[in-house]
Amino acid sequence: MAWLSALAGVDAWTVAMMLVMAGFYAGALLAAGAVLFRLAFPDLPDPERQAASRLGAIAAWVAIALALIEWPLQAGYLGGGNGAAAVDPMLLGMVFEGAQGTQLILAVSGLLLVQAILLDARRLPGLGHGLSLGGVLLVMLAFVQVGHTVDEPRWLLGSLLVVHLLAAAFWVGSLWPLYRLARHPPGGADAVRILDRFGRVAVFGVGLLVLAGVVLAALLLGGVTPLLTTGYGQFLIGKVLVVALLLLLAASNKWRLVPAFERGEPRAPQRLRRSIAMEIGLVGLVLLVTAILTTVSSPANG
Amino acid sequence: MMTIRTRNTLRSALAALLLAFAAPLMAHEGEMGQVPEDGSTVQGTPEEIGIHFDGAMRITQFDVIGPQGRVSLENEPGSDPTEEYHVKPAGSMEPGNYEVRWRGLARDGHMMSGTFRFTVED
Repeated sequence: MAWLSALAGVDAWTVAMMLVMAGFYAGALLAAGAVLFRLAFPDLPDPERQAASRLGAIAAWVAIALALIEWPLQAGYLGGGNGAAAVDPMLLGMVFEGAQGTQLILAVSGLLLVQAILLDARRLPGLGHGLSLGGVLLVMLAFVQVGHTVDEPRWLLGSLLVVHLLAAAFWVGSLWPLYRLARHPPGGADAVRILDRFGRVAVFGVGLLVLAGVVLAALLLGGVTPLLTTGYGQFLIGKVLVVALLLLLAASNKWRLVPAFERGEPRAPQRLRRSIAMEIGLVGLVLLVTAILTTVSSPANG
Repeated sequence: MMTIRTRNTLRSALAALLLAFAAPLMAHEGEMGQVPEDGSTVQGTPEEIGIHFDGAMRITQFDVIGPQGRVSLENEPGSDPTEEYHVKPAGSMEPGNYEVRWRGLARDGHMMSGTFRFTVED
């Protein structure tokens, strides 16, 4: 199996790099998603709004720390996977001067701006939202600095990836506030209103996620054979299977558990919370597989 | 007539199928060939050892490992972007199996690595 041979040459250094990368993906998407979720749902009850903001701010700091840790890890990897290379000024400089450096600067600046999510929206209307949304856009730009989006047509590829990531971030950022809302008593007006509206917004978001992903893949991959024959393709299939599970859970929430919650069924909140908790676990797995497939394989050489 | 539930299920299944293609894909410079070729056998010490790519690559590690450990190399070109990276063994190479391990930074920021093997005969 190609995916096994891709993993066979992976050393401890590469594993560390993948784990840190997966953590960065999670933190950055969570931070961006918290901003988007708050903008999409300005009528969130106060406790959930504050919880979403706090989590977004913490996620942003974690992502900043991981982005800074990733820098010497990348230098160390280039030098053969050792501590001496990780502090080699030449290698650190090479990483910083290249696409990774631009990505690091954009990501850290964006994640610092995301902290504006904590500003009191009532005292400073617009400012908090504006700054944190600017931060989200910088984080999105950071993601398109490395990888296929530097190829032509760059604007099209970059825009598609940004749309794809914004939709993913919205989904990831929604999970914690929704989990908290599901603690409300079944049939509670606030929770029902937001869960119901989320269901409608999420269909649109998943549509964007899929559409952007399909067009990107069509432009870049140019065929389905590599999906089956390369390590990259096989990791991708693994990721898709996890995403399929995630979508089934989301569909079950929308069409079964949320209506049960709305009807005030006593066990509905607990079942909804369990389902969202499983979604959170699966999202973590998706991000880990993404970090693996972008680190140890590529469509170009398997 | 299709029920709402059936339509929703179909829609979810379609979404799951389409998401098969929704992962970030990374296209970048690929390894085009090696000298000596991967898996080949050469008579005596090869004049040069190297790789070439279909785009500029900054090579940051290039080690040739043989029966006596790491082989001393000369003419190491450094880490400027290049499509051709070639080195010369500093001395004669003992007969045996050799492995080349390289790492590099592609133009699009992707960190790449690879190995290839060849055998030296008397």
